[in-house]
Amino acid sequence: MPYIYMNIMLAFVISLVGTLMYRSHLMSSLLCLEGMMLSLFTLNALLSLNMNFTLSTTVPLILLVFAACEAAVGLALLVMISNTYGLDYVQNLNLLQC
Amino acid sequence: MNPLALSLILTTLLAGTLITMMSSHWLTAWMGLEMNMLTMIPILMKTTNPRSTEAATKYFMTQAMASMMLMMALTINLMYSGQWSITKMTNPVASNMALMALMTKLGSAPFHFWVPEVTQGVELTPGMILLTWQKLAPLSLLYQMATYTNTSLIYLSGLLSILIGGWGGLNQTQLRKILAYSSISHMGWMLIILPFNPTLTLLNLAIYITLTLSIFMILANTFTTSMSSLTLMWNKTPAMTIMLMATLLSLGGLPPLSGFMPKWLMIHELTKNNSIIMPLTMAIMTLLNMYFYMRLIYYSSLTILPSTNNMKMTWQFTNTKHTMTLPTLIILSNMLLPLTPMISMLE
Repeated sequence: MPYIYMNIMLAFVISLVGTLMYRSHLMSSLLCLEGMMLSLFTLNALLSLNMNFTLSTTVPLILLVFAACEAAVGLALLVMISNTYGLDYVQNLNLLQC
Repeated sequence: MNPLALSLILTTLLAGTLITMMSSHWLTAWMGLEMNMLTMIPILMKTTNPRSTEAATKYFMTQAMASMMLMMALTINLMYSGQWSITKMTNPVASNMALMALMTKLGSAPFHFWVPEVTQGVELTPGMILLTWQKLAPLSLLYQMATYTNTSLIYLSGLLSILIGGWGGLNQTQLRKILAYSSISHMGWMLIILPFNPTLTLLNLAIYITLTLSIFMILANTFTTSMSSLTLMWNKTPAMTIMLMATLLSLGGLPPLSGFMPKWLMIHELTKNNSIIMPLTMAIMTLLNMYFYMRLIYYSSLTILPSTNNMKMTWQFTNTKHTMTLPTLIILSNMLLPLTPMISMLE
């Protein structure tokens, strides 16, 4: 496998780990979600160009559209949480345990 | 909610699932899953209290991460095979990664941690949509792509789901969490039979959806969300209390009721394929589920907790809540067992 694809997949894995392991802010998890999306966008664009998948050249754009919608919804939820608690600390989200 | 907004949201929910179920290209399927997730968030946040916000956030985070993992699996598949068809995902890395992403979307162990919390944080009607309608799209994708995945992963996840669904529900008093753990357990059964006979997965899904819809509608009718409110149901709606008992027994898989049909056919299919220990473990672990259903039945229909005499004689008001399809669903969820030979219609 060419080195560039492995590089971008490594970026994806790092963003994935960043989504799962964050210290206190929910915002960092949302940022890593966008990082995953960015690495997917780059990988798809490179694949469409290098392997001449001419019909798949719109795929990165479609991914971008859906990721933008997701980011908007994520930020709206962040705003709702900040409304209640003042911060976006994840330790605050403890109402539903047990 | 504003009727126009509600109709738009429900239409998008329907459209998302149908797009996923009717697609043969992975990108369209992924787009349908995204639409489903995005439009589920306002449904989960119908009431704007902090619990709903927390439930919607947890739902959003897990499902968004699963969508991104699924897209990565599809991109790896594109890299190695050059095509986007759902049924031919031959690269093992891609198909196992997609399997894990779809299992996260379904809420089966070891990716089940969001299900009890999200179901608990929302009202009964959004919880009902979460546990029934949202299973259709990922399972339709799993049904098509499971042939190329590692079956050990499916068995591991299924067995773990049944174990966790059984043991997790034992310590609960909130009905929504009990139904969430019941959902995890049923997903385990559906996953295990997938490599052997995928038609039985769909049968189990259909009967599970009927049963869960009945239970949620009975609970929504009387606004009961915890076990303590269940004890007062005999007074307000005695007929529905009996129906709840029958439907809960059916959910546990007791023989003359229709919940027994999928379990019986699955154990039959597994033993036909010479695997004895796995259906034995599955059947015994499902008894844990049966225990906490029996506890619910005990407190709702079999005993009357101590109360003063005037609490026992309430005014019998006429029911103003819509129980549109409830009688049909209750009959379907309790009396379908004699129709088992008709399963050949599903092939």
